[in-house]
Amino acid sequence: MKTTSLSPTAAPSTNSAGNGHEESIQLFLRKLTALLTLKTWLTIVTLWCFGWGAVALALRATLHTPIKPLLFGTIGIFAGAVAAYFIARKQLPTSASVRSLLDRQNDCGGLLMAAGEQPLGNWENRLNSVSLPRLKWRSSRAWSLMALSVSFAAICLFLPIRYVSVNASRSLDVAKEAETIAAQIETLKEEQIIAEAKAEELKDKLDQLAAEAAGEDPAKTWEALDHLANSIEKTAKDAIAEAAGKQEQLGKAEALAEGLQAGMMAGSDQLDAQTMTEAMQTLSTMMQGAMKDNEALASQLSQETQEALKNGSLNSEQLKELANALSQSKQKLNQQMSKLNQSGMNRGNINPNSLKGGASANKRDNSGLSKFLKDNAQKMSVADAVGEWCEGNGDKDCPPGQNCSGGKGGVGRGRGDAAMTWTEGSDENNAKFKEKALPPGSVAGLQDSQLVGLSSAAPEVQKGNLSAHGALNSSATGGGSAYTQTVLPKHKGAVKKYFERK
Amino acid sequence: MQTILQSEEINPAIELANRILTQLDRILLGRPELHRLVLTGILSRGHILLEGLPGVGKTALVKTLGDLLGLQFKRVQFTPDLMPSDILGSHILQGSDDGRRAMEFHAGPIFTNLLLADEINRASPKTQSALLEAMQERSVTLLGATRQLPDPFFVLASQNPIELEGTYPLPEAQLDRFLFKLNVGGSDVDTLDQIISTRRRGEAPQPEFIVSANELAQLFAVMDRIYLPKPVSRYISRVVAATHTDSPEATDDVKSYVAYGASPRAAIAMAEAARAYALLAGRPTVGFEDVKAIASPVLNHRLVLNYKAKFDGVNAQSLIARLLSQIDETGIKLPRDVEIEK
Repeated sequence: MKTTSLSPTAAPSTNSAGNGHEESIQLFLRKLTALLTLKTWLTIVTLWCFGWGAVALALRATLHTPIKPLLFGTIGIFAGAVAAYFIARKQLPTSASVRSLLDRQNDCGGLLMAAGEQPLGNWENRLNSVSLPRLKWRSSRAWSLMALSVSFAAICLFLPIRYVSVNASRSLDVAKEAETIAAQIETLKEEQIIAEAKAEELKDKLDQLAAEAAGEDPAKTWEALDHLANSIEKTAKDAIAEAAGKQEQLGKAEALAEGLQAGMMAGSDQLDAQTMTEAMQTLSTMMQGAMKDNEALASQLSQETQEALKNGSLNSEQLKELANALSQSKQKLNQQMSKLNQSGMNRGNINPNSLKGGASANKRDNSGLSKFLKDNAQKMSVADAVGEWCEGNGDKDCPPGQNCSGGKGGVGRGRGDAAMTWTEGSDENNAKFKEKALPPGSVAGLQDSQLVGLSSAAPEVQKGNLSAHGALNSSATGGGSAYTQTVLPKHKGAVKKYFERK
Repeated sequence: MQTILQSEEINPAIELANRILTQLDRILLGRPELHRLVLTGILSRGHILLEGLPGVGKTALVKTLGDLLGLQFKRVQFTPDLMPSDILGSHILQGSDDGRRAMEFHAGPIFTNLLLADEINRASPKTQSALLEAMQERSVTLLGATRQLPDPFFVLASQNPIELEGTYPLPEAQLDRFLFKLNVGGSDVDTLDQIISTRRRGEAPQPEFIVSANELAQLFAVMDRIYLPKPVSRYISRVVAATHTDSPEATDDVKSYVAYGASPRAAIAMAEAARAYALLAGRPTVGFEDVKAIASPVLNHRLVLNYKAKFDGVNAQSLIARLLSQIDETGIKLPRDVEIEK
């Protein structure tokens, strides 16, 4: 047991009546005051820390009070020292009591007590050496309790709020993700891919998700956010694909307009009347389709040009105007696609630049198209010839009608021997593997078998016919389409929790 | 204002007291503490009840003390047919020379300095009660006339703790008038051997000196000036108060075993006895140790124990010893886990 004690000391001695004893008494009283002050202070600090901790815990749990104002409670510890001093003073014995104590302690036989009431005369010599008794305090319990209370207060003050909050569910911080999705919605709205009402609806849904994001069930929040993000992404991808198609059509019309205009300007590659008429009709058809999808395109053309387009009598200047308008429209579509791409809604799936009529279409030199039409007038229609022409990228080294940069294959997209265009490779983990026939499940059939006999010989193993333990052990994981949602590290916890549900 | 005796004033008294003690120890072998307490009682002018088996030296002690102090000594053997007049004295019709007759007072044995009331509990209560006035007021009143007893006057009574048939236990009022009740125990082997080898027929030697009346008066005068400090008087008060079950100072033992506590006369007796004990210790002031030394002889016959104490085998001496150990002399009250090492 821990004890605190004040050692006995030789008290001051004096021959002058009373002074030495009085000093001894005062010295003892000072020691006793110090000990009682310390003891009382420990008690106060213990009680204060328990109370302080409890109040702090209650405030933090109910009102989410920050730690800083609660730290003002340390003042109580210092105030407790002052209070302890005054309380200890009140507990002190009287001077006469201490005198009687010292009398008893030093076997003075009443002389010391009498010295406080009467002059002792020559008996004073008997009181030369007065020793102070030892004060003993069993302090281990007090120190232990104080340590416990201080620890309690520290825990109550510095425990993370999520462990102490009782009236509010723990929120999940999805602000960053919500901000990204909100920006994507805004982009879709600005590009008029979705209506304003739809954008507001999506934003409301996003706000609700962010507000209701609860730490207790993060999987639910992550799933909802992923669903919303996927929905937006799908909308964006559809818009990119649609824009790419439009851009391709615009690119063909532009190529035809530029080709005709270049032919008119050169003169040598002048088309015959029949081909010219067919070309004009083809251009008119293309323009009508383009203007139907893009109303702004019509506003960029003059009335005369529009009339001439209808009549199939476009001159060189009007063809140039038409080509410029088509080029601008195409650039706008290109900008839109780039914006969608940059906003993260087209993650590695559709490369706008790789599509026909994409950014590369702007670089095409269509000056040879007129000659190409003239040369192939008997072989194919103007529309097919333009399509054939546009398979190339206008590279001077690439012969007309040959896809030097490769195409995507398929009907109307170049010849069958055209090189494939490879985008970014698929993730192997998510790739769909070739189907594999499983070996017969003979082990599983054992439950229906009948025992015909027992042999002490080693069992015969039929190679290739028996499956490993469990029919699916040797099968590869994966499945699903070539494009599957990548599970990011931050989602793994949510996925794991989802599958842990009972 | 009382002043503390200086050494030159107290030393002759201390020397005389020590000489008396030395003589007592020389004459009566093997009982120094009993002698000290008896002398304490005498210096306190108190009456002493000696309790012990026959033949342990009670009468010899009282007789020796009377011889030593040069006091008039008388002995009364208390018997059941002893009448008060046998002690106090009586009026006898006497004829004078002129033929007239008058009632003349013949003083009883109580008119002495030192009265040995041998086997006091064998007398009837009526006779025992005859001593009440004499012991307290040191006077005797007969037929309306009060007569003072000689100064000093002491009653040293003895009683036998066995053979209680045909005895009359002293009433509380009578017991309370005794300053001390001292138990005279047996002697050890060495003492007995010494008695046998040095005393023919057990006859004690004569004292080497006799204290004169003047010396005795000076001894009493010095005793009266022994200083009692206030903390000590407070301690005496607390001890006596603690013997009452309704006192805040009463201990658990007292509450369990005591029916009636000590009277204020006990507190007075303790103060006086403590003074005398301090004088014998050679000090001009009374200390706590003096009070503790005389507490048991003063209180043991004044505490009335209940039946529970008898059942539990608790006697007054052990109860007083526990009481003294549980009451702090200084009255300092500290928290439970703080102690002052003695």
